[in-house]
Amino acid sequence: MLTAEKKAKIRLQGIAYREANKERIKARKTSEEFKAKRRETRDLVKNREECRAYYQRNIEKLRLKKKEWIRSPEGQAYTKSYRKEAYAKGGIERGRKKIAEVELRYVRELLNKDGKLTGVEIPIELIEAKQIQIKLKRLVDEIAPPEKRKAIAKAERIALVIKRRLEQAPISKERKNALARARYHNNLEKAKEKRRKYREKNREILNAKMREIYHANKEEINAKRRNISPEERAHINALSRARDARAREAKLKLKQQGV
Amino acid sequence: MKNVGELRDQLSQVFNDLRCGTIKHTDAGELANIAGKMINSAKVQLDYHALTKQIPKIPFLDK
Repeated sequence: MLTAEKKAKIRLQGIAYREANKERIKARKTSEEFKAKRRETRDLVKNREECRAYYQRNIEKLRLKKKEWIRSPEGQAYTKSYRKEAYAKGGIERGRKKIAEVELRYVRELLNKDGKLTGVEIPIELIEAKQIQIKLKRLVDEIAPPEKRKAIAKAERIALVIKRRLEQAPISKERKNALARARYHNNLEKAKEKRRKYREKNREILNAKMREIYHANKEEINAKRRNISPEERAHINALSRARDARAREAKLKLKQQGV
Repeated sequence: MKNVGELRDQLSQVFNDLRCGTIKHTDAGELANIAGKMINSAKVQLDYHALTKQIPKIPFLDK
């Protein structure tokens, strides 16, 4: 680390040097050579920035292009010199053809691309299945490109959200009633079952309540009963007989189950 | 579908259906995706057996 004293000394030396060589420095700065060097540096920086901007702009395009390039058949690394050589020999064109026509060798390379194992023999059936799968995938991409598929999926999601929001929106009284009726009819059996279970569970309480009501309105009920026509009486009797039969059956079932 | 031969046949069927327009591209895409998974799983099995130096019979790869 430089101390403050040393820093000040260097600074003073610099000032003294510049003072002593003022004319020389001025001449050098105005020389053509210096100007050219400066321009070159500036251009280089500009060029680098331009390259970076181009890469950022076309990143997807370049990535796709890279995918299209082939690797050497011997599994060599992908290099610029190799590409040049291959291009001169027509290897790149051959490689592209290989990819376009989904050759077996290309599929074998694809299946082996992640595996670091060598010498694994892939059955021809598997390679052929992969070949058809690639072709199918390409046909799907051809019919609906990935961007279109994405757009469709997005539109479907939006439609679903709108539908849900509409369902949640306040609705008119008539529609509400209609929906409730539909729901009731849909769940009629379930509701019946629920009611039956409730009655069974609270049989004692319900019977006590009924008895209470009967004793409170005894006179009125008996008067009504006396005024019933023979047909109505027969109907009521039939209903009560059916009820008794159901009760007997239930009891018998419980007895059989050993409850 | 029990083996790779049947998978191949079914994929060919889907391919033809897609060309005729009797199947939706979304469905075909999903089927192709699933087929890819099946093929890769068979490949993983092959790699595993190669690593452990075994030569077992893989029913999926038998005709």
